Amino acid sequence: MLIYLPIAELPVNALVMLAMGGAVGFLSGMFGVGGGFLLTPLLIFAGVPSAVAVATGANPLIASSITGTIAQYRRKNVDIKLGLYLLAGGAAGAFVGVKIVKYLRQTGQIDLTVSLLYVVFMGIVGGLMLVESLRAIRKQRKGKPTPMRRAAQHNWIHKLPFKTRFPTSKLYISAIPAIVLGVVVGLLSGVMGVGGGFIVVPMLIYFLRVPTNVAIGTSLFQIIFVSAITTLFQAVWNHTVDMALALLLMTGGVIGAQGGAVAGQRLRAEQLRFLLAILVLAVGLRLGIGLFAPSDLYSLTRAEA
Amino acid sequence: MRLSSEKARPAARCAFMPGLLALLAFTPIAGADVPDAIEAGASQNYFYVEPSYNGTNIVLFGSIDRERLNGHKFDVAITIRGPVKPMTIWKKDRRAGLWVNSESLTFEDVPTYYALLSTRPASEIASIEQRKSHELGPDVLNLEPKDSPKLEAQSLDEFRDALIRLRKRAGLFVENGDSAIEFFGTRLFRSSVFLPPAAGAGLYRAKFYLLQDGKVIGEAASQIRLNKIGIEARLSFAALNYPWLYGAMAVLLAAAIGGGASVIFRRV
Repeated sequence: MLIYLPIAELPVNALVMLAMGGAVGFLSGMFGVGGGFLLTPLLIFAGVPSAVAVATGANPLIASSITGTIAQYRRKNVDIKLGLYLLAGGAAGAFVGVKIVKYLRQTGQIDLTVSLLYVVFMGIVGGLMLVESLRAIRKQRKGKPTPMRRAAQHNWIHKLPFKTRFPTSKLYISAIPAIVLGVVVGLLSGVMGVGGGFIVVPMLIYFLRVPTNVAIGTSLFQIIFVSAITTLFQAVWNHTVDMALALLLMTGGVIGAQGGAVAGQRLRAEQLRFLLAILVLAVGLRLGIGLFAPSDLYSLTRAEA
Repeated sequence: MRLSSEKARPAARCAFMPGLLALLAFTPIAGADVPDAIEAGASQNYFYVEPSYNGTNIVLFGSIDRERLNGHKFDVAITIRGPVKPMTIWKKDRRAGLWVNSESLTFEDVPTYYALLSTRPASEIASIEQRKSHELGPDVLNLEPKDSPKLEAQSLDEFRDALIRLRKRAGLFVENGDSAIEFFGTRLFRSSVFLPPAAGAGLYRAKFYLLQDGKVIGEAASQIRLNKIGIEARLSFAALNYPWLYGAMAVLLAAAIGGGASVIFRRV
């Protein structure tokens, strides 16, 4: 069933888009990440122009992160205060990120930058996760219990000024790293069309020593707002948010997320991380091929005013 | 010249007569009783982009005045041009191991769609001068670069060739000179071409040429409009003209779906 997208100006198979949204939703339900980092590349592979893919990729994240946040909030895993600090930085980052996208489109570097960022981030995140999950699986096989890495009591981040209490996370740390982390995530959201969960969660856990469950819940909470701001900015400055496409992706996404949550409870945590790592690396590799072996030396774009 | 057999003629004529009569009624005739050497039009002048739009077939037809041809060999060519837009073509260069867009050239007025349909390949039916002045063929399209670039003529041609090649590959520049025009009897002709969905909405101009001995001896023109309607028109209009409202709607829609889902699936 083909549907003509009003903004992307091309017909897409509605069932394929529903399935794509569903698959990403399934993964986000399973792994507790927004899934934006998979959605945008998948849209680009499906032939959606990258400017539309980046802008429209952020829109369904609002829906999936709201669903996720509500579920996490019921389990008291959302640190709203920490989330608001992340958000303050996130709004500024998203603003700058969307402006950068506009500049990159004018200079013809948008496709390269988006691909490059994906390859770098997916390579790092996927690689680290693969090594870590394989180590965990091997230990599991040997019959030893997997030891949780003990958080060091203090690191340089704890010496920064403007200390604030975050009761839900049971932390007393500086507000600066939370805001800086927010800016980074906002930038990524603007430029890559991702919520940034795959960056925020590890950062919160390893640098700020936030408990894992709270890190996931808080990350989802701030993704709601970062993706909402990004969607709004993209619509206003780039006119590239395709609501028809977003609706298809969201519909598939909310259904997929329910299935994913059920499946996630049946698999072991390290096996889940292993599967996600393979997936992340595969998408990164596919994008990387274009950087080193382009199919054509020339490309055509609509001229920017 | 491929002509249909005498037997097939009446049937073909019957099928096309009503359309042709309707067309003639709306075609202003130059000079009181002297018909043009070629008269032509489109079977449908309006097409609509709806959610189910997946490109459309454009059917063009017309008739030629045999008496002007003195029994000599002739050709018919049709060009279709979509709305024009400035387009930028980028050339990648290898830098630090990566392929990076480096040089670019912006052409003003690149048709979003261009087709040449003719009885024989363009180079066989008209001289290069005639082809250039009537833009008969993608290779002779009048593509002007924006603000005179410092490029050499050779690299200008390189960019122009690449642009034409990419548009051809996307099915947006079409050249069919292999009996693309079908004749019914001695006067009536018909041709059709598929307008791919990527060609986009706007005004399409069809021009019809009658050629003999490499020269254009008769011309006719027609217009086809492809408009977005309904939800397609409203969404793209809102996205361009009310971006804040459009963005807010996109956010609220997503919030409603996300919130709704967590209510519905709460007990699942």
